[in-house]
Amino acid sequence: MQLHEIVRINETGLVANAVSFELMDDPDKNLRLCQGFVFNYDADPKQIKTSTIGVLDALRRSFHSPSEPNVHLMVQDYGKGKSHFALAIANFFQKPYDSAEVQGVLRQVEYATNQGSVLEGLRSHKKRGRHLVICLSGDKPIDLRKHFLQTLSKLLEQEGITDAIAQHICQRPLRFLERLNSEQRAIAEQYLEHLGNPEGDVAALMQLLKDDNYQIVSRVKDIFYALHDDYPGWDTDVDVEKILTDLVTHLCTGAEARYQGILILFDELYNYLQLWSSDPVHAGSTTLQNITNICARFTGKVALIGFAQRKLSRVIPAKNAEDFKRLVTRLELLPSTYEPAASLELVLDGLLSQQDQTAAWQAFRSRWNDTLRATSSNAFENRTANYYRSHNWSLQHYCDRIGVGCFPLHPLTSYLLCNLDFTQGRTAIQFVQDEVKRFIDEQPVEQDGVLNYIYPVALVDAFEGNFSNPQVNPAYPRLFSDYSYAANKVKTSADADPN
Amino acid sequence: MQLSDLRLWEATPKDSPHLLLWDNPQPEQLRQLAWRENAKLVSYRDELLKRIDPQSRFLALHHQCDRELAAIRALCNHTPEPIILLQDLDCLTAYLSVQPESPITLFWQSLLNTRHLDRILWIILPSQVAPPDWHTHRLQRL
Repeated sequence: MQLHEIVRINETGLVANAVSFELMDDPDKNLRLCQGFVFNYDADPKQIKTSTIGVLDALRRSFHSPSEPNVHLMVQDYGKGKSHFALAIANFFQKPYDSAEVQGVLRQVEYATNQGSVLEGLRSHKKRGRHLVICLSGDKPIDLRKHFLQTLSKLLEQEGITDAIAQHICQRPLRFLERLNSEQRAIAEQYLEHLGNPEGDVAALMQLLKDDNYQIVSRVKDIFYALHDDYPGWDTDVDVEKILTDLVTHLCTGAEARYQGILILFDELYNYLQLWSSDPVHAGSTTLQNITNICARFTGKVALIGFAQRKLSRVIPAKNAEDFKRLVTRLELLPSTYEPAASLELVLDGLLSQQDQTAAWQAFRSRWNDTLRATSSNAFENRTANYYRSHNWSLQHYCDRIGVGCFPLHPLTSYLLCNLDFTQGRTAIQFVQDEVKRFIDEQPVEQDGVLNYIYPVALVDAFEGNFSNPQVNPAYPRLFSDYSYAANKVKTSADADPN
Repeated sequence: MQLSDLRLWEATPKDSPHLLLWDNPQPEQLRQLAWRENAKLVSYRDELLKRIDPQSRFLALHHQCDRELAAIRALCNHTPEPIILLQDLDCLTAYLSVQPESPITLFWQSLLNTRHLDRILWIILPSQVAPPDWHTHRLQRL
């Protein structure tokens, strides 16, 4: 039996740094990120909150039934892939079923779950239609209302929607200013000058309105009054509930609904809440409460997921602590707060896809199960237990994820690949997609009656440049030199003419 | 701290802004520091003037804080040198501070929260305009 009959390499998987929703504007990068997010999965229903597949499925179920939770929070530390996950699921819900982005995400779900009901549930959900996906980010805006309006205006324009309430807020005052004749414009300029031009002249106001600065609308209303002795009926504030209600009612309801629902993603939520607690009024006031109100009113039609690097309930800000606490009770709900595990080991497990639905895999397991378990137990108990126990890994979890999930990597190879001081996510993935792939393509499952593992020595050859470099670690070059000497000696004696 | 002891590349974390509180630095001192540390000296004021419409008579920066923060982030994405020394940002903070309902607190908080910068960013400021809540491990005084 050959290794490629029982293990496949997830060739599009990648680890990306500094992902943000802005990358969705770059079609090539966006597609690669969708095709490359490596999900993790635990089939145990009690463990659903610990996997990214579990979070995706919980979001899907928000639109399945009004009784399902629709305000979600995903908590994961810095640099563990939250923003990459957020971008992947934004594409999954926003794009059509047959788009390359959705197919890329589904392919990764397939790698992680090896078929099964979760994959089928996601596929059939997508076949029913798209969602309107609003992607907010808490690390860039100062005022969330303005950010919400800017994001929504851009999204609606991309979707070809022209008559939503959100679009009227700045467009109507802007159109009014653009249509002023020279005499009216002179009066308007005179009026603004009389006030001391607090935001500038008419041209400056028009530019601010083009950038969705809704705070300017009341000033333009005053100009209207100065010209017509009457006030126009324009909204001067961003009424988030009215805007979202308008979208749900007109775009997501009825037999001819354009979207299945509205999904709001809020990346860097913790950063935003820090900003909000230092000055709630100017940071967007009740915008987040308004969004959760809409979630409560339109269950089954609207869902919110926030992404934060720590549990919000454990944070006590220096200012406005009571208001912060009240807001957090709306965002961090026990049944729908998830802390998915994230480690390079789980990424490796996701990159090596064991074909466990095949007869070849079943035959492999029945022949080698005891060996896999004994090798894993030995590596765990005698070499790596301190490290993994400190990360709350049980022996069983270790055997499943590393012993079997990372085969044909020997458990010690997997451990070292993830923990050598010079390997990073990207280099580890490169090793799997190059060296391990070649091994799987060419090698049999067993050699001379022994299970054919990739042993740690393969890392020495693959990372020779790092092991021979004293700047990486002063101890490595001497050890590497000893290794090279021994390897050459073995090679020489093997090549020597026996006669 | 003495100028000769300052090591800009030792800043951690490397992807978030750092403050260098320095009263009345002389142009020659700034140039020497930039040369020694392989940094690019950038004037916020000069960059702002390059970005805005020369016909426009008004700045209205207090309504464009997010745009200005994005411009500072963009500086770090388009500079070949590994370190950026940003001077003259006090003209923006002074502008924001004198506005009614000043957004200065949120501006500083947002700058403090900024991550994923491609270059090490040091912002040179006079000591009297330093924000009160800035993290001490991301600040040096000369």
